[in-house]
Amino acid sequence: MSQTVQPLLQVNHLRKNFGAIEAVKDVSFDIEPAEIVAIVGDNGAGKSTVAKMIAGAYRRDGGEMLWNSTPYDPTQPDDARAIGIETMYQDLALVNDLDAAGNIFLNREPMRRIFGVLPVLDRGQMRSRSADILRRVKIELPSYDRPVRQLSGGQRQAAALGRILLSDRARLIIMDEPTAALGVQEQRKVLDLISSLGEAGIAIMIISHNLEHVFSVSRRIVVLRGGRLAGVVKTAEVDRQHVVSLIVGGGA
Amino acid sequence: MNMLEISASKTPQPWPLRMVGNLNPLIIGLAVLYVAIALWSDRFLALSNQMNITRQVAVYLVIAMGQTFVISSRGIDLSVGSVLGFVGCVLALMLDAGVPVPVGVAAAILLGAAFGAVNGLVVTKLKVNPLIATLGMLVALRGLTHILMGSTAVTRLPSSLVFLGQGFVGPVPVPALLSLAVALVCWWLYYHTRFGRHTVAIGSNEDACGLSGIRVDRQKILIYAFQGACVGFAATLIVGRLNAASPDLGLNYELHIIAAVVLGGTALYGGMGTIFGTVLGIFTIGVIENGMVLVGANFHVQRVLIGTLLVAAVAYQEFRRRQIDRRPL
Repeated sequence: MSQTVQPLLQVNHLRKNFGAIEAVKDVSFDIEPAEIVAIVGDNGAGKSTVAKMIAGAYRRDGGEMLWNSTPYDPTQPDDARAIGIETMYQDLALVNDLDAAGNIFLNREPMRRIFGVLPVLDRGQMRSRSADILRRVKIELPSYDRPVRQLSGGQRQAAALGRILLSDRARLIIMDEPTAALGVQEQRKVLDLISSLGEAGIAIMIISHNLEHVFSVSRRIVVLRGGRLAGVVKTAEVDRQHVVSLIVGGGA
Repeated sequence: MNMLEISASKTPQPWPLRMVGNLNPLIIGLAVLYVAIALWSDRFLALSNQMNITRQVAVYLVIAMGQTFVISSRGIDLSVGSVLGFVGCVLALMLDAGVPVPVGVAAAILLGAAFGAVNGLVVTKLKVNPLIATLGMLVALRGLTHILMGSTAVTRLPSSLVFLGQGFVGPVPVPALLSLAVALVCWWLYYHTRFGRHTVAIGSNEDACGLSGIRVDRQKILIYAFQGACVGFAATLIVGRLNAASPDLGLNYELHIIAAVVLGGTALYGGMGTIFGTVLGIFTIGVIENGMVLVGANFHVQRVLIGTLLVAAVAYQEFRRRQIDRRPL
């Protein structure tokens, strides 16, 4: 069945070096439209590096990427965004001195004009639209006009989430460890959000250490080991033990 | 409760309290200075003396506006005094050679912006620490100014330029009005445009800005170029005020400028700045200079006072920062 579906994103033989270190040696997989794919692997397996190459934050050193079967070669994060790839980074990439609304709209600030001439930032719109976006996914922040450095871990996560939900053209959302910094209840909410985004037709690539979360939301699991592809499995067809053995390798 | 449980209930402070809480503490310092100097010298509060202060600080203020952007982005520009000197001398030579004043003013602003852009390019493309990049510019450009001018000075400049530096509109000095206009434009730029917002954002988290698609290098080059343009404009004011340009023009200005910006509350570690604070900082330094003359204090007492204030301001900033970071929600 799935063979007939045109993949949204294909990565083939992706490679990335940092000086003499080969962080990613050979990674290939694909993501179908509206599919939730998990990327798992031990520390240093190359998960975040692969994500950053897709997101346009790193240039790849080898291999190719295809977006809707056409070559995709991002040189900066804006290139990824322009075609509908949004990314939530592991460290959240927030500007601590800006408020949540300012972070959600960073580099996409709406403007208005006073007296019909002088252009100024539309702070009101940033706040109200930020609140709307987060309310749609059942998140309420206590304040949209307080520096995010003063927010809790979960609240900061919400601000980062708001950023990737701002675009209504997103086709693929990459989430690097979206549940790592959260409490149990908050984790549940984020997993529900991931499922509902998938149902809304958006593909998700989730990187996680938490296999329970991976099994609860993903359709397929891509396992990386030492910068190489260790296997791609359908979540419904394997058990956790099988995935663990792929992660750690060695004769399993 | 259906909402994700990340909302902390917290009653906001009523707005009068918030206003007092947000009040720049330098206002109190400036008020104390005013009272102290007024008690000492009865000439201090006279309108003519107050207007004199606004004229004296006008040049500093224009330069410090640009510096507020630079420091907010976690940079620093030590070369402002030297750029002022070089641009001022080139302007004087041009006008002396018969170039029309408006052309000369425009050229001064562009030349200043060009030196700023060089600073920005060295900082971003050659990855030289801004302290060193602009220190190099400070030394090299001062040398170049002396080579250009020899031991001479240019004097007796066109009257329209002198009007920019010495003129009055009613009781108010023209340079004071011009510097106020620059401050208003900078206030708009800093708080109400993407340029200002991205400046502060880069000072706070450069990597996050890059990931959001902000072209960080380009923005930084623009910030240094803007500082240079401010210095270029300030050069026209100072040359007009002195009706002369000599190769020592602008010597040691950078210390006053940076002290004023930091005194005002702009954070040396970037991400936080204030235009109004810089205006207050500039006035504090202007009032100290003026007051010390009136009370007959030795010139060197000024320097002791300003140096001490600068260190105290940074210590206060650090104290505040630790407080804010620890504030529970």
